[in-house]
Amino acid sequence: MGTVISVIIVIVVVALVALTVKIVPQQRVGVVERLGKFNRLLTPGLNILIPLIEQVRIYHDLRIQQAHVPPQTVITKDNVQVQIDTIIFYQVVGPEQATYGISDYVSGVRNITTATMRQIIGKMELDETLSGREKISVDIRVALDEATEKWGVRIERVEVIDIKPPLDIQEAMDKQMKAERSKRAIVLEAEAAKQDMILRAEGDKQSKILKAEGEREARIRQAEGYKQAQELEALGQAKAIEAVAEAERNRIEQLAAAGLNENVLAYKSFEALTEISKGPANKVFLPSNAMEALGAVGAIGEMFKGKKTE
Amino acid sequence: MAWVIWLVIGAALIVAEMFTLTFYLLWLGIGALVAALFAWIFPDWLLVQAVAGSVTALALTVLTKPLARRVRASRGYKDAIDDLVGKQGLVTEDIHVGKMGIVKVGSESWSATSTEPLVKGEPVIVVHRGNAVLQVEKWGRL
Repeated sequence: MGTVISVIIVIVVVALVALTVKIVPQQRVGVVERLGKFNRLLTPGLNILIPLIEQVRIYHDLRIQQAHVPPQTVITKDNVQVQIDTIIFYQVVGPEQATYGISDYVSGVRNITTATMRQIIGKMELDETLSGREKISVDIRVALDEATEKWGVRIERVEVIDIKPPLDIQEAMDKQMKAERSKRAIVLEAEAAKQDMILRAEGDKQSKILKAEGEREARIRQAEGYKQAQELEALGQAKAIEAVAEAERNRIEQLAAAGLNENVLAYKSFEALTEISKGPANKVFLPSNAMEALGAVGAIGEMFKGKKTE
Repeated sequence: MAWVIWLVIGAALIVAEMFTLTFYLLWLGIGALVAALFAWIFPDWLLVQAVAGSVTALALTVLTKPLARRVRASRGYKDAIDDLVGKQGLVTEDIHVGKMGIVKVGSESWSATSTEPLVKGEPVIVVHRGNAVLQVEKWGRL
């Protein structure tokens, strides 16, 4: 009898003590209800509950949680179905609201995110969705916070992991990309050809100009050389003539100085006559003024005779 | 020989407490040790032993309360979002009255409301934190 009572007492005490002392780890929080009504939050550390009267309804994890939303088909403004794959990061910030405001905040967060996503993407065109990550995140932030404020949950961020357009659209995009690239290639090639031709023509032009200029210069120089040569030749001749004339004058002057002025002339004329008469022609015509000169120097003629007889 | 059994139970509970850190196992363990003491004095009186152990365990549990208060007061990890109030932020999306905008506090973006319209780039101070929405005011007002 005593044994049974002892065992019962021990069991009851064990249960009571276990219900009374609660240690809550960091970043977790318990919601305490006293007789079914919300009473307080169990904060991290050592906590004492009144057994039987107070009860922990639920523990919440306050760390940031992740929920992966499986690929969803969303229709864009231009009626393209895209598969969108997102990850949601959220955090319980109001444990009371998370307990009493919504029955299951995890699925709530998932559903509101996909619904909002669908709504936002439905207002965008395909090309915008592929590049407008920033805009999506801004729009989604406001829309989600408005909804989750009452749930005690804050959606930290919604990351779009992947946006997949349907296969045929993807092919079309590929084709477009290829066409654009080949267009660029062709344009570049044409431009290169154009530049090549222009450069060649320019080179040709310049070479021709240079050649012509060279020729011109060469001719000018040649002409100049010729001119200078002729001038120099003429100068030389003139000098030579002058020199000859000078020499002649000198001779005549010397002869005159020697007093042989006219007589020498007559003598020379005769010398020349005799030379002529010795030639094969036996008739000699003498100009009359020469005869006059001869006459004027008759005295010399006498002298000649005397010489001949000798 | 009953005291040996109590001693073994007490030791086992204390060892279990060391591994799990639940605290109530420690009190139960000490209760079991007290019971062992009573069993040594009154070897044939099981009820007295059980009552003595239980009273000790319950008394220790009740006495935990001031200890708990002291533990609670000690410093623990603080989530960054717990002390957002009073921090400075920057408006990144215009806030109109009655419509939420976005502010950046630290490295995080928050939806925010305000009683006055605020434009992008304006510095603000957080005056209240809701669950997911901040209440902000123009910086330098206080």
